[in-house]
Amino acid sequence: MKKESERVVIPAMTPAILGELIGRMGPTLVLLARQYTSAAEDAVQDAFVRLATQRTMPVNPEAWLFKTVRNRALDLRKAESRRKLREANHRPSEFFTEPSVDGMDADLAVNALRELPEEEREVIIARIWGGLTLAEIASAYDSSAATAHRRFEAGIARLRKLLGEACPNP
Amino acid sequence: MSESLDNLNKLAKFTPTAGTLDRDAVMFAAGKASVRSGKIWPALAGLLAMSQLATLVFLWPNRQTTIEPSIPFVQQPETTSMDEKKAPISPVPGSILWYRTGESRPETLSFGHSEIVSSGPIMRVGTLHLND
Repeated sequence: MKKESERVVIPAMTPAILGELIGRMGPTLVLLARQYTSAAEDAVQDAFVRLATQRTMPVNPEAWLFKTVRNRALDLRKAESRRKLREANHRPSEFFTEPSVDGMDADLAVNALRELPEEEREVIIARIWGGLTLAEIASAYDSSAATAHRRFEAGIARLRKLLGEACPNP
Repeated sequence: MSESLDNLNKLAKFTPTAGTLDRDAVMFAAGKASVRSGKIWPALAGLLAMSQLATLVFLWPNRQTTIEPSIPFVQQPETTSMDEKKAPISPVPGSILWYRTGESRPETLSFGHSEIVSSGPIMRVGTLHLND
């Protein structure tokens, strides 16, 4: 059941808006979907196609996309074998374009994200790379703002510990 | 503390890859899916075509019900002399000529043995005093 806030009548999706969203949000959504399924690109494409077929454009398309990609990726994960998912996750270098940033290896970043619980990982990805506010994240995942904040703080603390242990001060 | 913050900043600098996500392919799929296949207009067009067909079938001309106009008249034998009075045309009783009252009123109408001199329309102009 859609929320009342998503039923505000605003102009329908245009090709220009859709193209801009694909370019800006596509890679981050693929990163999110990779946490659940090896067919991450399919989940993201399905979400954009669904967005284009909406009769009324969501108030917050970014939050709507995060929620839709997550749900679609979870559906695809159910159809996948564990072996296939394990094989896909053995290629962490495909998660980011840069092999390293300021001395931090991409594999380290990916492994740190993998160590996070699923709820915290979602919030971290949406906040750091998606640029969503905690309120938008809460609406995207049908949770309260306090819950989103708690999960974000917990994820940050865990990342600090993991990255600090991996990159100790010389 | 600052070290962990630096590590988080470094993490945030990584750019997620789009993988095999093709922007053009997504745009094409989205555009194709967004076309609403309305069924109302095709249904209305089909209904109109059916009604036209039914109308054509019901109104197809039937030879048995066609009314062919027929004006039977009896042609009088031709006369050779110009001085001779032209024999009036004797319409067959019940024919269209027999009922003619309007357009080109003949001066005399012959009905068998009697002649009826048709009179013009009744015109009332007023009283004409010629000796005043």
